[in-house]
Amino acid sequence: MICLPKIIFNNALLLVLSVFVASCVEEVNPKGLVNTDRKVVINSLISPQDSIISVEVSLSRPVLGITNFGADLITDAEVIISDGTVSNVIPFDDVTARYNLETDVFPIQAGKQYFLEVKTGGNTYKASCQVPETPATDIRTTISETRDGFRLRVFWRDQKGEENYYRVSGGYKDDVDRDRNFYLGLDFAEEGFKTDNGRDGEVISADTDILLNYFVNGQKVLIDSLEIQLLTTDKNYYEYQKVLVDIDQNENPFAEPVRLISTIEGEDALGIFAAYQSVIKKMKVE
Amino acid sequence: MRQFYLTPNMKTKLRLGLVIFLLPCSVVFAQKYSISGYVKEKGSGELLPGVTVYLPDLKTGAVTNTYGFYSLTLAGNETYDVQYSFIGYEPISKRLNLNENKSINIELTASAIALEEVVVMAEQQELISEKSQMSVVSLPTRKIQDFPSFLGEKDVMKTLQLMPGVQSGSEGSSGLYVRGGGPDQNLIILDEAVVYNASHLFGFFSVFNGDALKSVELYKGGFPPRFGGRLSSVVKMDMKDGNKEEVHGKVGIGLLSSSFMLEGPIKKGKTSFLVSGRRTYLDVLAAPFIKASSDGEASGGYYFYDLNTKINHEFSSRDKLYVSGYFGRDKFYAKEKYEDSKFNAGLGWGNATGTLRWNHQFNDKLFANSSLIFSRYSFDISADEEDRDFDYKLKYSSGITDYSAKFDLDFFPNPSHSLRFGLLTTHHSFTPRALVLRETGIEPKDEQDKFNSIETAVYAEDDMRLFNRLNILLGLRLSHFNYKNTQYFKPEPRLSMAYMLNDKLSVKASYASMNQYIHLLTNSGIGLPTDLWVSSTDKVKPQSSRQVAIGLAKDFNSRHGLSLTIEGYYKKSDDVIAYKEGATFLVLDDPESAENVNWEDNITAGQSWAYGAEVFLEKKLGKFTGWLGYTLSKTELQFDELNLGEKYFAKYDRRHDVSLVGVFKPSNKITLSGTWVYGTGNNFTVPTGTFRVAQEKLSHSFFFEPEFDDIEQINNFRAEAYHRLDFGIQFHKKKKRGIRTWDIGIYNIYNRRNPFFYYTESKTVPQGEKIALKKVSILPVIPSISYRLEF
Repeated sequence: MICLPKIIFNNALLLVLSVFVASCVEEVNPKGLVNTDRKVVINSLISPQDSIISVEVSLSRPVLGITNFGADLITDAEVIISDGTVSNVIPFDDVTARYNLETDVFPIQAGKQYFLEVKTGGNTYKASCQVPETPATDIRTTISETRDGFRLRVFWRDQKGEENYYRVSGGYKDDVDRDRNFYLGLDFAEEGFKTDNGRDGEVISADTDILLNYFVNGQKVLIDSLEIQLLTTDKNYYEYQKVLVDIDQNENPFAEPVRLISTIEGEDALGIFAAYQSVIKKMKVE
Repeated sequence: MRQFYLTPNMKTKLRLGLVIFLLPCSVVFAQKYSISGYVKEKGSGELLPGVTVYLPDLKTGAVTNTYGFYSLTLAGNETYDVQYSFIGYEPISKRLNLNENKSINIELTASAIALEEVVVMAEQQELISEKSQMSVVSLPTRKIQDFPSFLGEKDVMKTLQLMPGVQSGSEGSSGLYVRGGGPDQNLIILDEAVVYNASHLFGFFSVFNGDALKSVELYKGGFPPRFGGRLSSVVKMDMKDGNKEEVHGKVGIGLLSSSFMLEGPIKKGKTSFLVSGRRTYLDVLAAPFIKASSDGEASGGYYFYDLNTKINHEFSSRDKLYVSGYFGRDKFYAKEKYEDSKFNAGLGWGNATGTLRWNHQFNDKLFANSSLIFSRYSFDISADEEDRDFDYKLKYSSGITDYSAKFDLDFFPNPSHSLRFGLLTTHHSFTPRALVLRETGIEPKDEQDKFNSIETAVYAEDDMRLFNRLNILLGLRLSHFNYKNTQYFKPEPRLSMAYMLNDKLSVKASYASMNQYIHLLTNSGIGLPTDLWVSSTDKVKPQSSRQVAIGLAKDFNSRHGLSLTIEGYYKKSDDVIAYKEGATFLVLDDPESAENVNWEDNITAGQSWAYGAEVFLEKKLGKFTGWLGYTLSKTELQFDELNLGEKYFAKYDRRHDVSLVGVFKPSNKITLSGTWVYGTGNNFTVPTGTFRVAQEKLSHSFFFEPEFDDIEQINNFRAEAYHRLDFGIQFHKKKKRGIRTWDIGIYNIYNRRNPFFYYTESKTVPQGEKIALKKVSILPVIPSISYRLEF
């Protein structure tokens, strides 16, 4: 659908403003902009289903000033993961520019708590998280016809007695590129975030609109297969990623500003250390 | 069965209350008579509110009510001097022997455009030190014409922004921020009807056309019990009744709009009418350019209009009927027409109000007004596209519609007491979303959300004059709100008092408890039409506030009408609402996006603290008039769900706010005016940096912006100070058919680049990447010229 009101709104607004409001933009360097020090940013999302533990350590970029590309990554930090009894240093990997450790060496287990420690610039930063106990079960999908097209609905059963947070995502392949080794993302937007709040132990669902066929260069293309990835996450993962998706969806310049949560302890630190369990379900579209 | 008991403490309070309210009914030994009547403007018959009726011997008096009525009950068989005075009118003195109830109607003559210096005896002035009411600003509408204006549009709200304790929001906005409250907390009433959206063109202009107004009063605190329903202010406006004697009018031509006003008798002395209108013509002027640039296939533009109408009829001196209405609308539109397709789209919003009032004077002491009131605010988007094989029609709207009934009784038992009682009930009907969609190949969609609520209030107040030196306005308002099964009942005690330290100096104090049952959802605070009024519900509680103020009022013993007020206030508000972080109600470019949004889930409640001091030095009489206003204030907010629960400064928290206003009329041919405003900069949320976010490891391709703004604190950045000087000069000339005026104005005379908003922008430079902070300013120096003819 064409966004008609947008067209009219923008045109008319532009017309009005240009007639009697001559706006002026200038760069300013106010002294009042507090704390332009760079902060240490530590990001790591761990999962029993992942083959590696990956930690990114970087510096934030001040709002005023110039930074070099890539210069914001910290490559010489000391990064240690521990489960409270066993700990392991995570070495820096030049290829991915992250600190990586295989889960064969240091396994991530369901229900267990993990601690991350990062030493850099003479400071120590700490964080901890707990892997959710149980992954989602009984994942089912349906595709139904709606007024506007088709709707994909994903169902699963919540684990009773646990406070659960879910992240639903998915991808598709069409019959032209069926041999391609990756799936194109489906946009669940806000629907991709569900909790069991008020429906503990019940069946939960999330849905998204889906195109089952479309035209590419005049040729009709059919959706061939789907993949649903359902993450059971900890609370921090859920809140952090939900904000990112919300912001991504919402381009309204008048939306209220957002402070993203940080789970990293230590002076002037930002970032997240969170855990999830992942289940993937693949299916053919008939 | 439920039973109610009175505790000893409650009994004492009840007795005290009864004593206070029964005082006027106490046994009177001497025979008493009343002087009562109406004060009108000579020549037009316009009833004058706020006229001081003063008895110099007794040092007491009364003030005419909204309908020009006054009443004084005094000891009989004595001779009294009675003085009637009102700023801008020649005072009148009467000597009378009060041996029976007397009805005295007075006609005051308006002093023409500051022609001669009005000589008024100090006693005859309206003395602010004598009033028990504090924190109130009265704006003579004749004065609004004198001030410099933006693009020649004389604006009531922008004039009010020049008063201490009242701030403008962003540049050019006509919204009022009163004592730390937002524009959503102002009760704006025009002839008793609530006006929900008081702005045209995103707040650059207010909807009130000064030509049609008789009086404007702004209450910032010490609210009398007759007002309620909002936390921060009451702006009470009354339209002119229309000249009862002869036809008069006014025509104005400006750069942005043209206006007219016509008033006159339908039946001389009995029935009169008033019509006043204004329309912008930017769209008409721009049409040829748009047509030319689109090869004649497209047209579009924007306009707004206002229409005020009023008819009143006097059945007898005791019964009067008024019917008045306001209609105003903003409209954006675009049209395109091609060989085999056409496209129309529009975006509009506006208010409509209607009031039917009946004044009845039961006797010399008892005056009643009954009103039936209608008010509606609506916003709509429409789009209509026709192609060879495709039709698309969309209509989206939102709004609020009110039906109210109001009854007010004024009772003047003796000069020591003026009592008022009243009842108001309003049926609110909210439509947060109504959607009609027709599209080829798709089933038609007709959806509407609608819910109703009822707001009711009863009040009683007594304006008392005790022991010659003490004036007390004491009262109570009981408010009730019903939404589905949810009931809210709130008592609102109110008190204002003034103690005269001497003839011209008084110390004042006030307390007011207020509740607000309907809320404005606004993302921007700049008066976007998508702002939406919603009801209190079981989840969303009413907002409430308590305000205390103390002050000094001093009238100087001079011929210049010089007065000084100093006030300090503290206001605590609870359950004020705000959007949750990242929330937005309606995305402008996609009205259907509102489909899945539940506004109740998108808002959060918190608390606010506002405190400050205000100084107001005014000179009302003479060739040079004007004022100096200064406000020192602080406003803080706290929401559990915002800013990680930490307290923060409000966007429009302004430490210092200064306004200097001067009008000089050296002769009846020239009016010179200037205003200078200064305010500490607004607070903006500006990121202090950006940082890399954690990317999810999903098995399929997914992309997010890899960086996020580092926001350390909401409203962390204080913008540079705002200041601006405006200047105006008017040339008046008496013509055969009336007085014509050329009005030349310059807005922002020294072209100050005041900040409107800030944003960050990153760009690639040879050394790497640079993030810069950009300041956007609008409204540079803008000259204007307009013409008006009054006949």
